Amino acid sequence: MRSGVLRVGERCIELDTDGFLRDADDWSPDVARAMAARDGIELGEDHWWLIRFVREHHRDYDNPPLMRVVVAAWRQERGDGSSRDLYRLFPDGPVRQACLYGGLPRPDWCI
Amino acid sequence: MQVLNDNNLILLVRATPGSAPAVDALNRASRMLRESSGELVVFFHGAGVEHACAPNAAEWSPLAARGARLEVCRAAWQRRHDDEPDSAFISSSLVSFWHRVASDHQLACCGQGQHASGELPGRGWVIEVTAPPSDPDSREILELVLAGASLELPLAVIFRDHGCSHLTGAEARGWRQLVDFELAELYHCCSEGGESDIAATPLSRDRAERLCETARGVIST
Repeated sequence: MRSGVLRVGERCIELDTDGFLRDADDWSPDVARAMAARDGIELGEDHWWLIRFVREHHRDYDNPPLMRVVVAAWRQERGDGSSRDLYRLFPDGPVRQACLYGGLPRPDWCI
Repeated sequence: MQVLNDNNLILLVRATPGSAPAVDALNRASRMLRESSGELVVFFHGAGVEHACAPNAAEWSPLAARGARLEVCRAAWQRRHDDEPDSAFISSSLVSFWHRVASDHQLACCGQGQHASGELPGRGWVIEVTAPPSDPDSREILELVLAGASLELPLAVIFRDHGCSHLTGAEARGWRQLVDFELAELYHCCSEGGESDIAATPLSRDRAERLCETARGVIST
């Protein structure tokens, strides 16, 4: 259970039982950093690239991207790379964790 | 190493309990168990997951006792229920479904519409979208396609009849990713000059039929 309240500056952010935001409007880069820090992750440039990509995909298509789509975009961006690079960033599932820190709903599909 | 067996079958059930396709699915599954020596997997998806709870589960559980593996799409189930499926049913995933289809199970389908199955060897699988958009069905059909695409399987989606409504407005949003990222081929058999917000290729009914006939399997939703 990771539900509770996350304190970010003066704000109290409510989280659901999986640690996702209860209200997507609460999201900000500071909130993302605080959520990741709680899991022992310091968000760097590559983490932010992934979070932005997943947020934009969700905005455009109403669902998170498939892993193969993320890997293709990563390769296009870096000229090289694989899913291993993305799992190094977010070992518990790159797309799921990018949704988590990106303030998106928990993916509820079984893909 | 997995031994391939041409007699292994996977039956996709998306029809609600009591509907004609659901009755057909149950009869078909019973017949497969009687006549085939291979493994039978019945995969319940969409509204079909309602077979996995009382009182409908009682119709299917004898098949599990006879060796059929009854799998329920976890996501579709959790959207509709807070508890677990009946004990004769096993939680599974769409990726697992496609993995079986692509490896060693011949696909049969009993959807909301009339089922179809490709019997000629072809290069991929066809998903026919014939029902109008509805929640959560539209989303679950898209998920079915995305799950196959996640395994990089060759898929074609054909929109026809009421399914043409998926091609415009907000309904088109999710489907568009299939084109934008080349995840599946998209076709439509919609009226000439009909609006479409997605770059789906127009197809005559004859060509659509031919595509289905030569596919490795057809899922009619």
